[in-house]
Amino acid sequence: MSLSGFFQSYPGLYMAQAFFHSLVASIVAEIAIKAWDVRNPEVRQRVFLVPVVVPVFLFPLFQLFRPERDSTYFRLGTIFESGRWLRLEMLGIHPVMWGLVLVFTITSLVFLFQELIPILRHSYESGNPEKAVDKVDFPEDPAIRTALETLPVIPAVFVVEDDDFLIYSTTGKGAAVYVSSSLVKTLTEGELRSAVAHEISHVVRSRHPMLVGAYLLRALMFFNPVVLMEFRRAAQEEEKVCDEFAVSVTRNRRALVQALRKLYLPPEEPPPPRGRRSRKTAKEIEEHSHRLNIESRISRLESGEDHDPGIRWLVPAAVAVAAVLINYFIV
Amino acid sequence: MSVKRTAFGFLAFAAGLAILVIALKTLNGLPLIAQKDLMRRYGDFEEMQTSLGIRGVLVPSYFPEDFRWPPTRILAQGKPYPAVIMEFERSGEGKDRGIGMMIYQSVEDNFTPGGPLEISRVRERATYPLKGRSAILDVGFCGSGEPCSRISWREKDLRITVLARLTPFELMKVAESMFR
Repeated sequence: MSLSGFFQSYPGLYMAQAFFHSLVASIVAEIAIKAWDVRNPEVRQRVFLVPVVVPVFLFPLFQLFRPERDSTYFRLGTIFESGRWLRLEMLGIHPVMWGLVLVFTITSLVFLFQELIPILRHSYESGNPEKAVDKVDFPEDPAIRTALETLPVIPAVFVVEDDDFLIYSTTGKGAAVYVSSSLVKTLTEGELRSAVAHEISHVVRSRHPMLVGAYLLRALMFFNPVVLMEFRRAAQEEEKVCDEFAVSVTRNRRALVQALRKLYLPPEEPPPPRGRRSRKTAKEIEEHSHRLNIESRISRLESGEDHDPGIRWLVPAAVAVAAVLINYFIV
Repeated sequence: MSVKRTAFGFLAFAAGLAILVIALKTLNGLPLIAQKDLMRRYGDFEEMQTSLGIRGVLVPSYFPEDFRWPPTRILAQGKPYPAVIMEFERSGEGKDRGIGMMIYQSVEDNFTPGGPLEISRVRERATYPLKGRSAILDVGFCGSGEPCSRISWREKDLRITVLARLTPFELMKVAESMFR
């Protein structure tokens, strides 16, 4: 089958339209975020998940209920017909078609190496936590025990002998929070309670059906770069949602801010003399981006922004409705 | 969040969506500027033939009462495969105006343009010899419940279909006149 033939087949039409549907849904989501000035991380996360979920279902549903959507007349009256761009011919090739294939291939590889393989590896390692670290249960550590006394839910919490500042959680059957011994020594009681509460939120929310469902749908769209990007944005909001959870149970915003600063924001090293290095390495860019993300979390916590309860479901619903309506005319 | 802020949000959202739709519509028109042989509307039959270089398109020489040449609308494309759609409006007094006949011709056998005239229910299907060609004649009803007929046959490398709000007898006369 030729490439042109593939894009006229059902799988080809599905992939192309899912891409354009997610792109439009993503723009609609961005318009909504700006229009309502949405800052609540939970609402932002729901909005970012619309472009992840919508493209999975739209094309099959539209085809099922309105098969004539594929006809020449319908296509002529649409807002945007992807086929026109895909069939565009220059010097005997279809540049948009090939460009889309390239983008789909790169995104599939990114999904495979940055998401699927690490998740499988993580699942395997979580199944054998005993082998992974040398740890002690938290009741044996007086500092941790005192810090966690007031928390409403406590999963397994372990202290790992390590000189680095580490705190992380594993999910699934062996869900647990791991804290390094040096971090336990460095953080105050309140800071430690906030940091652990944040990780507990990750453990609790990892069982959230909406997030589990969103991840499965995102996996179906493994080829779609827009879905990849929007899912990562939603995942970034997850950190802020967990911050909010930690603040709600500890009632100590300041302690979480201090814990974040100690954990992730060591004083920056002075930049190297000019001229010696003109290009940033990938690691430096990643660190800078991580730092920006932490700074944004800190600034959010310090400003104590409200939860905007009035738009909790209104904005995601408006985005979903607009995305479905506009995408009906994107073929 | 105050009601005022929510309402202002709705207005801003609606304005943003309007801009998005306009931008998409504009983007949708760009390939038509760059590539002339994509499906588009043509002013007349000659313009379509000159522009796409499509030869051998059959046209009827007989038109039943209420129909006449030239077509009300011509849509055609050169790629991904050549296809021409001609619409004829019904002009008789006391009858519904609107598209009463469509003739479409395409290299692809399964080219079904949809549009204003479609048989929603086929009552009878028969093979009919059309000047030495084997044609398929469908008799049924269009969306409005009005009787409709369709005849379709293969002519060299083209699949030709005539669909009209006409009796099968009138429709066959139109089809036969396309060979004169």
